[in-house]
Amino acid sequence: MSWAWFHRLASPPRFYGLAGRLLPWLGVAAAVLLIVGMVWGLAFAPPDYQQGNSVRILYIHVPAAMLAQSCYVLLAIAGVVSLVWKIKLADVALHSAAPIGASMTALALVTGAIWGKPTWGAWWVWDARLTSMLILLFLYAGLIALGQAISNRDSAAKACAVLAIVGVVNVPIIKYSVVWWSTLHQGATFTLTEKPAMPAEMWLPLALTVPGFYLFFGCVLLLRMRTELLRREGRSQWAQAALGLSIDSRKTR
Amino acid sequence: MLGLPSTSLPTLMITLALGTPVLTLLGAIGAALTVGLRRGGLLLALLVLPLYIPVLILGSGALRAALDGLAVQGFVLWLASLAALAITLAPWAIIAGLRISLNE
Amino acid sequence: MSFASFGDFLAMGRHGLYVWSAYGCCLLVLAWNLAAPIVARRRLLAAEARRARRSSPP
Repeated sequence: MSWAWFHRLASPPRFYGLAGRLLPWLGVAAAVLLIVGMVWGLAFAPPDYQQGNSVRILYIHVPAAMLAQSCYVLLAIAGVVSLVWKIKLADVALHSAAPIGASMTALALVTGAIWGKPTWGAWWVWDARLTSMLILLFLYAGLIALGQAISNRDSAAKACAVLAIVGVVNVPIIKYSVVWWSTLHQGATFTLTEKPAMPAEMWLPLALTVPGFYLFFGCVLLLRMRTELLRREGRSQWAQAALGLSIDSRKTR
Repeated sequence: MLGLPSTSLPTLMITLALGTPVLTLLGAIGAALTVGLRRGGLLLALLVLPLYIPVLILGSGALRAALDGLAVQGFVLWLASLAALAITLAPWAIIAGLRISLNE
Repeated sequence: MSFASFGDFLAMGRHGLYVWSAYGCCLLVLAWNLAAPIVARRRLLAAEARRARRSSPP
């Protein structure tokens, strides 16, 4: 199988152009899904029999938590690609995605705590899933700190890649912790094989906000990566051309 | 000893024997990545602490189960697999970290 | 609609503070994630424009 397309995509100018064309679509799709999903979840979905209206926090808490874990897996994959194939774009992806993932982890923790107070009576409990999420936040923080502490960019790229791969062991522990330890946090509502334990009118808004969050992540990641690429490759021909275009287009506005 | 009933001592010894190599190797990974950095000590703590916590949870969970008279096999097996993973894979991460720090 | 009136919607049956603060945090995080790269890009373009003006005087 020819991997030429992969290596072509990894070329900064080609990626820059492709990302630029993809951005508006991702942005609009994300906005539509998020707005419709959130309004539906806030105003039209039914309240829970036991939890009342606080269950509406579900529609933002679950996507944030899912993104927090997926983003870290993305970081680990980017780390592997960066170390094994020495593709610089992978490090740009890792460097750009880390802050987004960290903010999503923080959002999941905060909305979870706010949800927990009326539901369980406590802002925080040291159960498996919550503790693992907190550990994930520290992993993100360490990764970002390590990237900033090393001045040589190539060394920083390699160090962050190694740390991301080492930390990715934590992600399956989070995912399966709800199964392996009986805890306060509820068990998995959705599995691939069984019917969900929640009625459709309650989880349908979630089916909008989850893709909405992921598309938002994609959009924001591409935004960050494009700027980072310009910053790193600034002296190269393609970057000078792209910068010239952008600066000119801003002047004529 | 240590205020624990003697029935829980075997569990304590096993969890310590399995957990200590894991903690040592994880610490070595962090140290290899930060050895050349100024004020690397604080960064080292930040890097290594999240990696330590699952091991600590498993070890203390095993001891808690032993004190309550419950089965400890699950925890011990988990610690054993973490130990096996650490012993086989951590050296590669340590080598990579040392190479990076040497180039710095 | 799950609510009889706008007042009910805001109150969320005694959970209003929780739900609205959670959604508020969410909007803050989404806004920051959108704003930070846009601001960074603008700063980079401005810095480049200044650099280009300095190195090629009219």
